Amino acid sequence: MSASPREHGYSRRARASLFAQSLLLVVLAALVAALCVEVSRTEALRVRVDASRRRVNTLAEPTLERIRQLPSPARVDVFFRPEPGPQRELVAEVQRRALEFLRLAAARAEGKLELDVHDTSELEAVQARATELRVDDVANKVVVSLGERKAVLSFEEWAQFQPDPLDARRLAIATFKGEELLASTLARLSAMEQPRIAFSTGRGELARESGEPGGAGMLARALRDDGFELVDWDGTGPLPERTDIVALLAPTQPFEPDALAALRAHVERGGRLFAAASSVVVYTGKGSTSDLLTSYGLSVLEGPVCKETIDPVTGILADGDPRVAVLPVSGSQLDARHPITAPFVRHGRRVVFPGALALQRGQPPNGVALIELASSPRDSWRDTLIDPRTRARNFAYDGPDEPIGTFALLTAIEAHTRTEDPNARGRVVAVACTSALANATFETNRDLWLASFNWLARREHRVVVAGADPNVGRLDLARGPYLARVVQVGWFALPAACLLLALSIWFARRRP
Amino acid sequence: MRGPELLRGTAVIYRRELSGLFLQPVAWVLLALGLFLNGYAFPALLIATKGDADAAFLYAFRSGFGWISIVLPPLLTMRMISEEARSGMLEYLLTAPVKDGALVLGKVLAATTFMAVLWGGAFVLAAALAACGAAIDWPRLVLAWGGTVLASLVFCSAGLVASALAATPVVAAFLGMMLCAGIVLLPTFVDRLAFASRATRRALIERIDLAGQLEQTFLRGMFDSSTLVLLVSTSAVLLVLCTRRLEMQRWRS
Repeated sequence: MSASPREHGYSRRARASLFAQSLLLVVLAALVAALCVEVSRTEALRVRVDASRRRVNTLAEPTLERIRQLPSPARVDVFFRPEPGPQRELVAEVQRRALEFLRLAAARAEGKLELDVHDTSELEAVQARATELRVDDVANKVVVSLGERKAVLSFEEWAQFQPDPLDARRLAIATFKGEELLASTLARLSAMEQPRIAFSTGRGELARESGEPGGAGMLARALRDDGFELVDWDGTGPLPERTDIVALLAPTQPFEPDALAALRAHVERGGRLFAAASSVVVYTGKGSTSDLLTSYGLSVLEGPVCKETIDPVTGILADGDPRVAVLPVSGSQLDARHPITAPFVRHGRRVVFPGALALQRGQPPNGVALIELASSPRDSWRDTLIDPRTRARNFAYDGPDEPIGTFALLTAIEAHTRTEDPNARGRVVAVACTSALANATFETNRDLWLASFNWLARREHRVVVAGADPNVGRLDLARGPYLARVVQVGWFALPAACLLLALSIWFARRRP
Repeated sequence: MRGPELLRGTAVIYRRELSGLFLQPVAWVLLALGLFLNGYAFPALLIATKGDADAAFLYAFRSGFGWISIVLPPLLTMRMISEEARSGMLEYLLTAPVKDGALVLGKVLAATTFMAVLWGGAFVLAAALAACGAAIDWPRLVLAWGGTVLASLVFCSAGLVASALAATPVVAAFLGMMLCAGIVLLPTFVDRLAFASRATRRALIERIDLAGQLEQTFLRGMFDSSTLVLLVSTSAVLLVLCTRRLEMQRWRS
């Protein structure tokens, strides 16, 4: 029978030996733990599941695809620092969200995105890195580098701002654009070629470089930022060389037959067309955008599409007001599968069509497919009747004389080409809404138009849509009983229940 | 049949420790204090996040790393070994047909259960908000709670190590708090290491920053097996250390 150590005790030497054995065991355990941690970090074995209801930890698949397709790992240097002044809280909020998003992106990038958050109090190190990057001012900037190419992102680019609903003197975040910004920056840095867009001019189109509310300067800038090259086409001669996309921004005057023929031939060769018919000066005759769209089985119908609205002040259902022609479109009114609109459905985003005309689907020619991307809500009507006295629309539903139902507002067309490639398709995006493209509403529709042009450029991987309004899902603390309830429960009810239990246990234990 | 034996022993010790904890008025007073401090901060967090309840819960769990994780687990575990060694109870336990591993595991799980109850106060607050019509992200909250409980397992393990090392409960509590603070502050120390390059420091921090890892994953409603492994293996190393320390007590007695 073997003797137990307890019965015999241990000599000093035996103890030292056992101590060394124990120490070795602990060191071994630590090494095994370190190995387990290291192995668990390998992408093949790592399991990540986003359990949050709003999928806050999940990047959009196009963004991930964009990151995966990077030719080499991109490096993101963050130089955030606290900003003094009245907007310090806003700056801190944007920085926090940007940092959270970048950490998430780096974690999901499978080694394609290296994040380096610099401590801006270490002036020498920051200066050294800034010199290395060859960027003069890095304060509050994020520098994205891909090889030798660099993009410097400033604080304002991370979000859209609006007056704070609780304090109009301050700004608040309307939409955080981290994902959109990173995706477009990486796309710009990795782009080898710039798709060329030829904008038709001289037919009363929206002015491409105008900053006026009715101009299209914001669209042009956004397209340029997204890596497109913009050129003009006066609609008379052949299209400019290497034109990938032709954009007709709501022309109000007709094109010559030769110009229309050139546009049709461009699509037949596998070219792409963004055709926005004017909803301000409605002309559907020969040489119009509507005439061009008829070739693909689509026609533009007169009369803006309207839907009654609820007056925000009185809460009364209102018509007879031009506001009924401003149609917000979201959710089920958008195609959930098409690359242009699917991200809007996924993120719960909406787009706005002010004064839009309906696009009617006719009989498309062989080899042409029409997809309605956005349509008006149910029971919307086309305001076709004009008051003979005032010669103006009344923006009210006038009974059976005005068509009622759901109308297509944005349509994508794919057409077989006459090229040798059987898979080649010409692509067209059609809309009949001048105001939806203009600067006045551009910020709301920005992602829609960028997505449309990227789809036209066959860059579906760049179709990235910013997430929903960050204020969605927030509690209205000023009006709801939330704070009072939390105070009642957290300050009083829970601790009191525990103290009551403590007291009852104490009494129970005191009893003999 | 070492596995079932270990489980049986763990269950016995767990029940014993749990009843020892929850049948003490002082435990409930501690719980009341912890819940009050958590609840006290929560309205301020709701205001700071402008009504974003999910973010407020994230900060509530994260702020727990500041004091709850450093102070409470050592207070819970301080008597578990040192007091029993002083009173002679440990001798009986060591001679009982229970393995040292089961003894340590049972004790640490009991302390972690207490912490789980404390963190569970978040569910009551969430239910109160939900009763007022707030849309609570329950899966995210459950995952955040689970991650925090796992982190508490690490801190309770550190507290138990301190209890095994110290001769008296007061010293054990102090030592435990130092150990827990060390775990929380370790990434900051590593970041200050002058001899390592920035890249090396960053790589090291990524592997030892429990709070940072937890915040990036579980607290945001993201299950990450790598964080799980980090928390469990850190705890396992501490428990191995504690078990070996108990064995050393055996040689000395």
